[in-house]
Amino acid sequence: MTPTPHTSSPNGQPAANHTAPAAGASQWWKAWLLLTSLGVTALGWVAFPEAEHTAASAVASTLPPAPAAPGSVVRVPVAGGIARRPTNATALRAIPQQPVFRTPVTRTRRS
Amino acid sequence: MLLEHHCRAMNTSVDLWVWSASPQQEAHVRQSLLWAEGVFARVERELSRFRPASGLSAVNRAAGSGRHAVSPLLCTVLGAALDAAADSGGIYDPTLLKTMERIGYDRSFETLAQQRDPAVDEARPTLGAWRRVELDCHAGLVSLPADLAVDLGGIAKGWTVDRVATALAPLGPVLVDAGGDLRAIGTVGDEPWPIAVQDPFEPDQDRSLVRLASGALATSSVGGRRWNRGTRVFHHVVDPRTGTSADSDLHSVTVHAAHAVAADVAAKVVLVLGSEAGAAYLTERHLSGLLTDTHGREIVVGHFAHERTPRHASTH
Repeated sequence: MTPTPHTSSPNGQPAANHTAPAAGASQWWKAWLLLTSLGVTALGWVAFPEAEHTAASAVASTLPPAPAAPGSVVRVPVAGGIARRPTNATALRAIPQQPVFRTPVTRTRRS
Repeated sequence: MLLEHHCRAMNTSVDLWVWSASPQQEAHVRQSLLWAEGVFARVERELSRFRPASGLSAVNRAAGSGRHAVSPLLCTVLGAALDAAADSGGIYDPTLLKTMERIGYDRSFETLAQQRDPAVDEARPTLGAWRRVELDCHAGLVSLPADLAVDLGGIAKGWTVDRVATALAPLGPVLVDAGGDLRAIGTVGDEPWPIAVQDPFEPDQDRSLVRLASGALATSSVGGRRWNRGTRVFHHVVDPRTGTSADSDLHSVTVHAAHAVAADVAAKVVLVLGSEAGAAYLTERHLSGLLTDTHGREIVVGHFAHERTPRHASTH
């Protein structure tokens, strides 16, 4: 394996603890994003077991493709191609400062 | 900000909400909401029994002629419907279309006027008919006996609600409502989605309020789709044990479940079973519900938390 700069300390130990704070935060952010993505995927499997077991990908191919968000992805070189990942998912989780709902959003209806 | 999208599909209104705290994402969220409208339209084109060109209509026309090729979408939703039939002991049955047509529900309800068609001949019990459907989703084939036809109306709506809500959820908290089949994923901050509960007897009024933090709501009632045949009044909820409109002690059932498909199916099943057996059905499946009997009495099953609200006309 080819050693790479910035990955080892002078005493030969991994240099994870020496990473600059900004870079470390970035790494944590990536880990959070990865775990969130895995969670969403697992939720999908739980939510649609029949679809997954039968022909989930085929079903998806018969539905309109979900829109991509060109402004919200960065390109990350990975082995064998380019990976796309969202960059601003955290911003979407912001909590509103004021109550949002003053009246019912909708209502049950008989069918 | 709360972004909304409203459209019509599956003979009902479809309403979607996504909370997005990032103005930069607004265009993408709006694009995704348009995508969701396209999903509803696509599912309707494939699964509507009222569209002659739909995959479902083709299957029904091919009944009795052996195996028929179907799309993965149709296979998946029909498979979910057959699973629900098995789980409910056949009380929910997607193959009751010919029974519904025989008692008069043979066209879109919007065009089903208060007509005075001839009386219906005697009821024909059909419990267990769903078992005669042969479905092979790996091969993409289905076979229907000549005397059966499939209706996926309610479950297709619930399935699409679940599918769209799950797809939109990465954008932020989402609520999807297709004609009363509701699914919420995520809350806006710590605020659940406030949902008014329609008065079963006065549909323009609301009776109470549910704060939906997650999961799905669906309501089934014998009060809505009613019509006359001869001297009798029928409604669209069929009891396969009798082969005619259900005649239980319940007027309306609202169920809270994890998914819209489960809520939709359970509401129908409980409405057919009646209050006692219906409550047991919900309890066994760890579901909660609000049951209203034909006298207007409410029965709460499980943790169906709802707040009584002053009677007022709906603003929707």
